[in-house]
Order: sequence, then structure tokens, then C-alpha cells
Amino acid sequence: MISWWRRWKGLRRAGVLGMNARNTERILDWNPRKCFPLVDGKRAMHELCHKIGVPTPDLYAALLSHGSLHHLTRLLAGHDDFVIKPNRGAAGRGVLVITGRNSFEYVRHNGQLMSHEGIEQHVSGIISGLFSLGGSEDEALVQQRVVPHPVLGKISYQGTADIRVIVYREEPVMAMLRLPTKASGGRANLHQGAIGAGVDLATGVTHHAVLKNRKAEKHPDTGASVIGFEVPYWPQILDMSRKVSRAVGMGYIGVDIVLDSTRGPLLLEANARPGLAIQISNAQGLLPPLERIDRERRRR
Amino acid sequence: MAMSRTRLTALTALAIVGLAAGVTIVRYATDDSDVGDLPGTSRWEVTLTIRGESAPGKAYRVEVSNPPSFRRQHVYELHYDSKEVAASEGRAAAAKDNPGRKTTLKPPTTPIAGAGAQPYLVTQKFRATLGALYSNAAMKSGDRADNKPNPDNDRTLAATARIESDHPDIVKLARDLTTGWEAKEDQYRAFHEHVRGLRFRDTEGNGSALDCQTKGGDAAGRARLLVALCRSQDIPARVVTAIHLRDDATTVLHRWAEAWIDDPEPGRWLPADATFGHFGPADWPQTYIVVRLDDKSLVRGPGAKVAVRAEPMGGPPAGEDPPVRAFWRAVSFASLPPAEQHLVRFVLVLPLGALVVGFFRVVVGTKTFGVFTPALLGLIFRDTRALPWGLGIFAGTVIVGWAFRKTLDRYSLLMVPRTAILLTMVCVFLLSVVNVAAKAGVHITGYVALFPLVILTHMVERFWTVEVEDGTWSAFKTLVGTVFVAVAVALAVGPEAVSRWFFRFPETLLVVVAALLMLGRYTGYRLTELYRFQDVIELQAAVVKPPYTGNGTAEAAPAKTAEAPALPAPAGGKP
Repeated sequence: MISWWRRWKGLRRAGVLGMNARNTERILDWNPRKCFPLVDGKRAMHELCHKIGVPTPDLYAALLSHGSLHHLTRLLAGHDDFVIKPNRGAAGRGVLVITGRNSFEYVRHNGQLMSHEGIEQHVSGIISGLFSLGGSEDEALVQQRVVPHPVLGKISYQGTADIRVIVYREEPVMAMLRLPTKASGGRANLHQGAIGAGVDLATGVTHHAVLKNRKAEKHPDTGASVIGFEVPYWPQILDMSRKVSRAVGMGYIGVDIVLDSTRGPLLLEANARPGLAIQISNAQGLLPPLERIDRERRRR
Repeated sequence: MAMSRTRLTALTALAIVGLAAGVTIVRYATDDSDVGDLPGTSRWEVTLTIRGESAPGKAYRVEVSNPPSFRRQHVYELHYDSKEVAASEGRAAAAKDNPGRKTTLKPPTTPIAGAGAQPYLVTQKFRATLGALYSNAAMKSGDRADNKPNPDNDRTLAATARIESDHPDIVKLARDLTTGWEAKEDQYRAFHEHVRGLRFRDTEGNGSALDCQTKGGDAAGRARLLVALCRSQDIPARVVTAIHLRDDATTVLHRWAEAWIDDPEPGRWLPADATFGHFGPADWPQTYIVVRLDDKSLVRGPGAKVAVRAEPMGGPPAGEDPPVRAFWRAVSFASLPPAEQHLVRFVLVLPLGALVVGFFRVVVGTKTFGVFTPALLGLIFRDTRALPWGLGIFAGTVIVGWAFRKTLDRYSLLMVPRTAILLTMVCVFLLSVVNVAAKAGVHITGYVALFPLVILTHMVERFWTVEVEDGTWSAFKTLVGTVFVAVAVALAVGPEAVSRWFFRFPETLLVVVAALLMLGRYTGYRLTELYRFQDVIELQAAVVKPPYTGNGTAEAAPAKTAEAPALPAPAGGKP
């Protein structure tokens, strides 16, 4: 009991935001339920980005029904590499990455070959709701493939690293860089074994990193240091986050941004219930910045 | 904004608790005695003690008759107590037993062959008002027992082993006795007078009608002879099995006869006690509690011996019934028919189970599958003796189902057919468990029947989803969390005192709502978070100057670095 009390005090002193406080004081109070569909669907998010001028991976096509499968060949004709993903998929399920093609077959990101029928089957599965968690019907999106920016090559293993920025009342309050590892299977997902590196908001430099809830300094696969890395395009990234937050009309969101080798930062998606692990990656609590913003807004 | 919402919640919760307390206080102030009991000429608390011993190595069950509420007799607060055997709960009980008539009690597990004889002790306790001044819903529903008999179904004209209404001696005797009497009631009275005059002989309730005629008999034999005489003359009749209440001596089981007399239409059941000489309802004693309207024994079980104790209850004499009391009586669950009461007890504690789940999820941070699945599981196994079995089967099903689900994933099936296959597999698994267990001499059907199969299937899906998204370890942790919370719910709602409290003071549900309201605005840390963010605590303690430097905006940046170290400790929880 005494140890619990000490820990509680420690968390308070560190300003850690707990799950209950996040749900009640941040999400319930700041994110109106009616705005959720805007961030839940990837297509709606894409349209929104276009409207507000935030760069996002190009959407080549959206297949809404099994009937539209006829047009798949024509839709894919001009593109050598692309990504097929469900509109409402979660945790990276149902994402198919194609990096190249010859006259008959497509090449997947891991080098596997795939026939045209295989792709049609995958799209059909997405539309039937195979990858949406509730099992309800879904849409299949064909998107531009993001080619990871070369500066990230040394500190990520396969896959694409991304940047998560928490935005509170249109101000970025915390950020982290998520780096895929061999263990995470190329996915930038922290509990699957990706590295989370806290990024200093003012400078865009990583100052702390965590792997599987333990402090880490080097990437386990590449051996490169993950501390002191300077994220390129940092001012743009913060600017994009602010714009998106303003456009979705929610007070507390997480914005996911990837770095493309040619187009620079692209907005991937927004999350209305961003996780709390970012505090571990930064070794800082979210409460001080949140409360500072509340105070400043009240003063105004 | 958040403050005002939290305050609003707290005030609402306070008001609700006040309301509940008010209702309870008014209840006490206006009605200090139990609302379950109706005003009547006498009120009793009756205890039946049943002792017996099972045959070595054999499965056994004890069936106890429950006295009905009907006519002017109201029975309430009936409950059982036993260390060795337990009554089935909820839907299973309603399906198997008619809780209004009898309760079946069984040991939680069947002994393995070779086990010795097992002694058992069951007590049945209930309260009864006799000569009630009003009838409530329970009594009205019990009055169906007084409907016109249908001899084809209820055998009210049939000859049985101990009621030999077709024996020539009985037929002849009946004919002799009715000579000169036309009306059925007069014939019935003639039979009654004849049986009354016979010699008394103790047969421990086993004497037949013919024995009674030839050698004399006790209450049972006399009742049977009277019924046999009626039946031989085509007058539908039945034996009534009852308890004769006596506070000055040992209370005893008692039997008498009832005949359907329809000479003056529409007909009625006319009781006749050929032991103590009561005839007709006019001078009927107020110390007889009817338990069964047939000749079957009160208790069935291996070597069962029954002892009865009855105590008259004190409290206000029940002649007058002020309107406030009448109101409480009208809204009390105690006036419901027994089957409904059973359901009410089950339903009333469900919110309490939900509160326990809420506490564990919000304050402790235990992860569970589904929100109310642990509550339902805990409620099903609130008899804690069944808990290890039930939860074992639950966890086993989920894990085996998950293995199936993993295999199924290779086929990439659509959701509905996939779930249907899973449901089939869950059914097959449960059936195999039942089969294997039965071969090993353990009967677990009682628990398996309680499992909602669809919920189990859903659980398998959830397990699989969590495994894919957060890893196997996390899925197993969630499974353990679910079982843990289910046990906590079982312990919270299990005690008889809890369900009786809710039954008597249903306004306690308001207190549950108030507690849930407070949980809904609880913003403190979860217990598990004290460990999850451990590193942040340690690193923050080590760092002299917090590394937080600003939000990156040019105009706000300089102010930030100066301000950050001076930040007061943030109020993490309390508004």
C-alpha cells in the first residue's frame, strides 16, 4: 500500500496522464462523438487532407463494391507500385504492399510474387469485411506506396517509420518517432516490438527511446543510435498536425505522419483515442503541457 | 468544464444515495416488520431438517417439496441451507424444477466409484402466514390448485397401491355407508364419520387404505381410506400432505383428504380431517400448512429423515393494515409467485456484479473480455462450490476454441460462417468434456447447461482478436483477468445475505447507480498504471530539469522553458 502511494505520488509529480483521466477529461470532454467517423475512415481523412492542403499519399482508386472489381485492371494500369488497404482496417490488417510488376505478376514488398487473381481475391476479401474488426462490409483503397525517406534507413528495419504527434486544442504537445524492428515485422507498432523514440518538440531531435517498455539507445537490428536523431521537415510536421487537428474539430488527437523520399512528410491518419505509451517513449508526462494550454486558453 | 461535469456527477450521485436512504428510512419508519408477511390469524417460522446418507459411491439428489402460497396460506422467504448439496440456479432451476413445487439439491460433484457413503444435511426454512386477510399475486397464482379436477390427468379417481379404491371390500363398504344419502357432501360426511371412528395405529405414514379399515391407521392411513371411499363412488378426491404446526410440542407432518363436491354448482374442494375430526372450511384449524396436494412424500433422497420445527412469530398482530403498509406490501417482491421471486433474486444482483466489474476495470485496470461477461460468469457461479469447475470449463473452452480459430484463419472465411463453425466447435468441445467427465464418474452437466454458448463463441473471437493485435501474452493475461474478476463477482453476489438484502431493499440499486456514476468520472490512476509508467517516475526523479522544452511554436517557445520547471505538481486525479 505504501509503495502504491509512493508510485501514485511519483506519477503525479511526473505529470503522467492516466487512462481514466484521458478518457474523461480529454476524450469525452474534447472529442465530440459525431466527429469520430471523420478519422475512422481513411478515405474521409484523405478528402479532408485535400481540402485543407495537407499532403497525404495519393489515392489511386477506391473500390466500393464487388462489381467494381471489373475495373481493377484498368485502375492499376498506370501504377507499378501501390498499396491496397481496407478503409476501416485496424492494426495494419489487410494491407497489401506491391513494389513492382512484370507483364503477368506483381511483386510484394517481401519479394513474393502475386497473380492478378490473387489481388482481386484480396480486394474482394476487404470489401466483404474480412479485415474490418466488426466484420461489416468495407471499401478497398488503392494508395500511393510510401517510399521511406533515406535518412530513416539506418534506424529502421524494413517497413516504414512514422511520427506520432499528440495535438491538444490545436497545439502539438508531445511527439514520438516509431521505428520498426525485425521483431515488429516491419510494423511501426509499439506493443509488437517497434522502438518508440521521444522527439523534442522544439528541435525535432530524439532525446529518449524505449523498446518493449525498456530504455533503448541503439536499434537492435541496425545497431545505429536512436538518440539524437534529427527528424527532417520538423516545422512542416508540426504545422500539418495543427492543421489536421483544426479540421477534424477534435480537441485531443494523435496524428500519424510518414516521411516519403520524394514528397516529404505525408499525413497517414489521425486517431481519436491516441495511446498513452508516448509518455514512456518521452519519459515525460502529458499533463504539464495539457494543463498549460488549458490555463493559457482561459487567460485569453 | 471538466470540473463542473465531475461536480455535477458527484451531486447527482449524492442525491441518488439520499433518495435510496430516504426510501429505506421511510420503510423502517412506517413498517418495522417484514413486508413479505401478510396480516393473518397466525404467522410462523418453519424449519425442516432433513438428514440422510447416500449409498456408497452412488450419485444422489435430494428433492424437497416447497409449500405453495394459495387460499389463505402465504409462504415467503423460503430458502435452503446445506454444506453438502446445492440447488441449481437461475434458468436451469426454472427449467428443471418448478420452484413453486419443489427444489432439487445435488452435490457439486459426483463421487468417484468406490467412495464411501456420504451423509448430508439440508435445512429448508420459510415463513408462513395462515388465515391471511388478503390474497396477493403469489396466492392468486397458487389458487389454480383449487380448479375443477380433471381425473384423466390428475388421477383424482385412480386406484393406487395404497389407495385401493377398486378393492371389493372398499367398494362394498362405500356402498353400505352411502345407503340413504343422495347428496355427495352427505356421502362424504358419512365416510368421514366412519373413518374417524376407526382405531388409531401408528404406521409411520405408510399404512394403506385397506390396512386402515381392517387394523386401524394414523393420519396417513385415514386420509387414504377416506380418499379411496370417495373415489370408489366416483367422487374425485386427493390426499393433502401438510405440516401441523404446534409451538408447545414437536411439530408433525399431517395428512387429510379433500373431495371435489359439485352438487351445488360450481363445485369446491372440501377438506376433511379424519384424525382430529375437522370437516369443511368452517372450523378448519389455522395451524395446518399445506405442502403438497397429493400423497407423495415431502422429501425424496437416500435415507432421508425429516424433522420439523415451527415457531410462532411475534410482531404486530395483523388485524389492521394501514395504507402505508398496504403500499409497501403491494410493491414488495415477496408477494410475487415463487418462480418470479427466483428470477427477481437473480436479476437484482446483476447490477452489483456490473459494479464489481466496473471497479476492477476503472480503478484496478484489470483487462477483461467483454464488459459484462465476467459479471455474468460470476453470477452463474455464485455458488462458489461450482466455481472451480465452471471457470475451468470456461478457460478450457476459450483456449481450445482459440486453437480452432487460429486454424480457421488460414481459410480466410467470412465472418458469419466462420463464427458458426466456431460455435459448432465450441459445442463439440463441451459435449466431449461432458462425455469424458461422465465416463470418469463426474457429472458436470449442471454447469455446462448454464453456459451461454453464443457468449463463449464470442469470447473465442475476442481472444483471437486480442492475440493478433497485442500478442499471445496479452490475450492470456486478459483471460486470467476475466476469470479473476468473475471470481470477485461470485464472491460479492454469492452470500445469501446479499441477495436477501437486495430483495428486501431494492432501492439499494440506486446506491449501485450512484457508485457507478462516481466511477464514471474517476480520473485517478489505475492500479496497473502505477507499474506501467514506472520508468517515467524513475527517470523524472533522476532528471534535474524536466526535458520538456516547448510546443515548437515560435512565439510561445521562450516562455515555455522558463515555465516548465516551475510547474506545480499537476492534479492528476481529484478535481
